Amino acid sequence: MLARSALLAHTAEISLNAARAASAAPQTGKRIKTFEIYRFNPEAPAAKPTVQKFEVDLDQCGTMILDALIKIKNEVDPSLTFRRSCREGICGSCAMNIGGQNTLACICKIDSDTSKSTKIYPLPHMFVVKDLVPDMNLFYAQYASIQPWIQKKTPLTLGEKQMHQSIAERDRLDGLYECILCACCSTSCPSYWWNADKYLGPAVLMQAYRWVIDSRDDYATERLHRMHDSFSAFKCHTIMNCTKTCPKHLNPAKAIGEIKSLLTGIKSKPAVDPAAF
Amino acid sequence: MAALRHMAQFQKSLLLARSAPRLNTMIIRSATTLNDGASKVHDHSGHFKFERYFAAGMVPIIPAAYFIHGPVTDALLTIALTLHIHWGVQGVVYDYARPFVIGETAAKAAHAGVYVITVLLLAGLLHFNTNDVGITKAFELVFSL
Repeated sequence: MLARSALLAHTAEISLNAARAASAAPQTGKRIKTFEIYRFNPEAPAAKPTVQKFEVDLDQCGTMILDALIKIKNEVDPSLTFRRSCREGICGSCAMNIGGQNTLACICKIDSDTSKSTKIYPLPHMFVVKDLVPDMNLFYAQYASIQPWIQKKTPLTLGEKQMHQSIAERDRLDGLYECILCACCSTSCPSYWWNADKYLGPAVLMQAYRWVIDSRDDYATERLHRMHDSFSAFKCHTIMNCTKTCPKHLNPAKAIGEIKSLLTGIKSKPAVDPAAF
Repeated sequence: MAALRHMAQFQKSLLLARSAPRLNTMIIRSATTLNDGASKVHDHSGHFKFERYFAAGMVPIIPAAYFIHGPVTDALLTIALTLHIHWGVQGVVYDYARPFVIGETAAKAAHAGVYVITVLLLAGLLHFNTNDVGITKAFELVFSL
């Protein structure tokens, strides 16, 4: 079956090549893809954002959107500005809106359909520093406000002994600690668009939950009380854009749901496993 | 020989360093920075919980009102709808009528406007129930058309 379909595809290709050869106009055979990229230069007088078109030969380019962006910057327009670092989806620098979806340019494949252009914009509803670079200051300030580190009620000498967890306690952190803080989820959330100043947003809330639920942290109640007002966590309208867009396939909406359950007292943080450490 | 002495000296200094207080690692952490007063804000969790239970409680009222017509169902529907719509509209207004977008005064007016809408809705429904046919009867008449 597979062999037959492969044969069919081969035959189709041959006939296509024959048709190409037969046509009068010389066929280049190149796969030229158009990218429409948001441009904004704050240094230009009376700067207004524009969309600029770039054409890239897909046969001369890597498979990912980031490859195309780097190619454009190297060969066409060195002023094109974007953040990138690891090129493998672990640093979160190249988060941007590609074809209407927030994702990481480095792990987003270029749509090989050359009849359609691909639109690339910065993360939505963020202040733009330049081109595809958004201002992340508020996002980082919100992350700092949840104090994302272990806090103990008993005096603790650093380096003296390990803080053990049972396997079940460690399992609770899975799906939370993998977050790379690329802000794809927060900037896809309408609630965060409207109330970014008071609503923490999915990324920060998921990290808040990661520290609330950590068995080694003693301040779950205090952490929860910091966000029991009507905005910080409760402005989540369960739209689920965060979970849909997450390039790491995490589930911030579930973490926010857990926070709401803890805040309303429907659930409580499990007691520390007394497994004799 | 000199090399051996050098070696012994080195070992002695190494032992000394190990037993000496580790100045840069002897950090005792017990204080928290979470008690900075950020938790002294209005607690919304009770309200949030009540709103969810209330919405769940409304699930049987609407189909029941289809079958049971009368002043009691009218009154129940009036209260349930008014509160539910009040919280819903309040959520929408707080999302869209933000001081950042429409200015401080307009935002305040919009927030007050929620209560105006709610009072008008409640007054209208009560008036309809007492001086007219009532909600359930009105729907009966609409359906009979």
